[in-house]
Amino acid sequence: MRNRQRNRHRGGTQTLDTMRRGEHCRILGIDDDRARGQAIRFGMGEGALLSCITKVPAGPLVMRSGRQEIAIGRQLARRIRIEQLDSQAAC
Amino acid sequence: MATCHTPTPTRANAPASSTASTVVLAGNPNVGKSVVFAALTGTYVDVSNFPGTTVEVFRGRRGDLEIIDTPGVYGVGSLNDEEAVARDVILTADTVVNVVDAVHPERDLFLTLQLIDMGLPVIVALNMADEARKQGVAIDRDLLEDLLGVPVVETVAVTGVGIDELLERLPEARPGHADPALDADVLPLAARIGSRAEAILVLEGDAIVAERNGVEAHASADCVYTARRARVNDIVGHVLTTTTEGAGLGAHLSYLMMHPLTGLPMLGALLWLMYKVLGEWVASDLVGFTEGTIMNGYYEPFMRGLVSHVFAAGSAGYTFLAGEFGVVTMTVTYLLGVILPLVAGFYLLMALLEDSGYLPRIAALADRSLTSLGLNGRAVIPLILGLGCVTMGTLTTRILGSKRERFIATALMAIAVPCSAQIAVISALMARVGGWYALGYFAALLAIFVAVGTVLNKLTPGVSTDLLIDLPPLRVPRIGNVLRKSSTKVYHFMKEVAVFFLAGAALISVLDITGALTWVQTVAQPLTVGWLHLPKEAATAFVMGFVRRDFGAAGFFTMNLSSAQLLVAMVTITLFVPCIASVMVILKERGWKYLAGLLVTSVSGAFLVGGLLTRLLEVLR
Repeated sequence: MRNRQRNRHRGGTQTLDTMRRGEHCRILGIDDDRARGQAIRFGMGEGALLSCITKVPAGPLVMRSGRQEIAIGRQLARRIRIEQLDSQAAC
Repeated sequence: MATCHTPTPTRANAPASSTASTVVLAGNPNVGKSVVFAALTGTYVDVSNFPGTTVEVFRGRRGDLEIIDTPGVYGVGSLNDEEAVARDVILTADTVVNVVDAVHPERDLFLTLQLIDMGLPVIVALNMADEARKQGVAIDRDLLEDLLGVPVVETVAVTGVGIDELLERLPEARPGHADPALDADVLPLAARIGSRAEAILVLEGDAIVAERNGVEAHASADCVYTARRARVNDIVGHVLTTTTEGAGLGAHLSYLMMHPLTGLPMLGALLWLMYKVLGEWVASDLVGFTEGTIMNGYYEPFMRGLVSHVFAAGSAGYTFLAGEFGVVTMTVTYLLGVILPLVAGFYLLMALLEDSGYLPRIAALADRSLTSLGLNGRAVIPLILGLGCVTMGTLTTRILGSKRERFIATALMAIAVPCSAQIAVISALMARVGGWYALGYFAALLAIFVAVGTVLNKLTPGVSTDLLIDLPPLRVPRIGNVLRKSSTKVYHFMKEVAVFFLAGAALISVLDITGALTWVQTVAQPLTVGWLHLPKEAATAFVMGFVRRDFGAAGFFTMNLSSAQLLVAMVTITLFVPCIASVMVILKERGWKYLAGLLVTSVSGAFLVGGLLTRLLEVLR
């Protein structure tokens, strides 16, 4: 558990891949030019509120924003900076 | 100077004759855009549920309107091929019909606002209004119209509701309320390059449009996008009311499909079912009838009779037209008797999968495994199609995000994925020798698939893209959609492949006539007999395997092989070069250098693995 906490705050910021099912977050930044353009089109750009609905073990995360569901590869999720929110805040 | 946007293949470089108005359909993937197109034009078109499969552009007419459908995109720009194609078609539009999914306005309105910022005359078709209401989503249409400043028409394209109103209000399409904050940058730029639409794209950093206009692309994309996203959220906040959350059974099933514990058995069951339908019913029973009874029984004797009136049997002309690989006999039999039923069956199943929304979930499930092969989850689409027909799979690698991924996926399919016709013959042969050998065959193939992918991932330069896909809601496939989608795909596939196959068969015939074929058979004998410990006739099967993969496998039917020999033969023939139709398509899609490398690798790889397997089996016994 302590180990996990450390992971979650690697280098001071938390990244999307640390989200667990049922958790909510706000996107702070996407460190991938191509994905940033794509994500913002999907409505998942910086500032977007997301909830994690599925986390495929070692695989992609499925995030929901509104009624929109997106699967995000684990590698890419590591380059998405987020701020975790209390469970009620997002929806 | 008039702006010129050259690169779209379908662009009407409208000569003076065309006074007709050009109506372009634009929208996100899976919003029913193609169905709207079909309803407007009455033409059969591609309707796709997997993001990004509509790479082609479809055009049709209604009265003096020219109507063009574009690939589904989430925005206009140079992010990928679809966007670039959509962008270039949209830039030619007199009117843009923006099809918006009423269930997902917060996603779709991003494109709408981009089109409006571009200053294009827009009319919005708010599609799937029925589905939205069913999901408890209500949109205030009048308010949306006011906020956007363009007409908004509610449609249910699959049933034709709202299409008449859309046509009636088409002349009302107009530029809407663009973001005034953009004007300071856009107006001078637009004045300079003569197009507001292109000025916006330049401002958003579209390097291609900037280059065409001889200006520098700006670096303000993030800033423009973020502002636009904020406006979308604001508009949605005003016009949208939701009464229920869309969870429930669908959400639970969706979760089960993507979780490995439940998802893998489901995927396994699906593949087994597909094999049952395609490998057994279609490839054996149906093809047995179309190829055996109709083509071999009636068509070919008739054609041979006809040709023999002109060329004596055994002459070069006869061999070319009606010989073993005859252009009017074997080629036609293969195309109509074998490929057509198989491809139709496959596309029908794929259309069912696409329309149900299951495919992107398989992509999510498979993402982890495919990442280690240098691919991402999206590659399951061409790979699954490759199990039907490698040619079909190779054409579908176009949906992959980078050249590197297309490179790897094409090689994997050509080397280690047997096509359904081949699987059918191989399983018939394997049924004779018992379960362990059949299991050995699939284990060997899987090991080679993983090995080839891992090696290519290490050796291929560049970076693969990450999975980032939209998961459309799960739904029961709509039969009309499925039929329209699959028939269009079958038609385009047959059209694309027929020419290649004709050329390939003609080439083989020439080799046959010149005696090169017998020479190859003789030369290959030390390899087949000496190295693989197979009878010398095996050489013929390998040559046949080049013409048709299942022919190659079937060539072993008549030989009296031991179980071990059979396993060696099957593994080797599977790894051996892809069939002539795939070779031609690979040549077209990847170029001759790639093809040459692939052929050398697969031939040497096939014999290397075959020989090693021979020795392994001999040691085990």
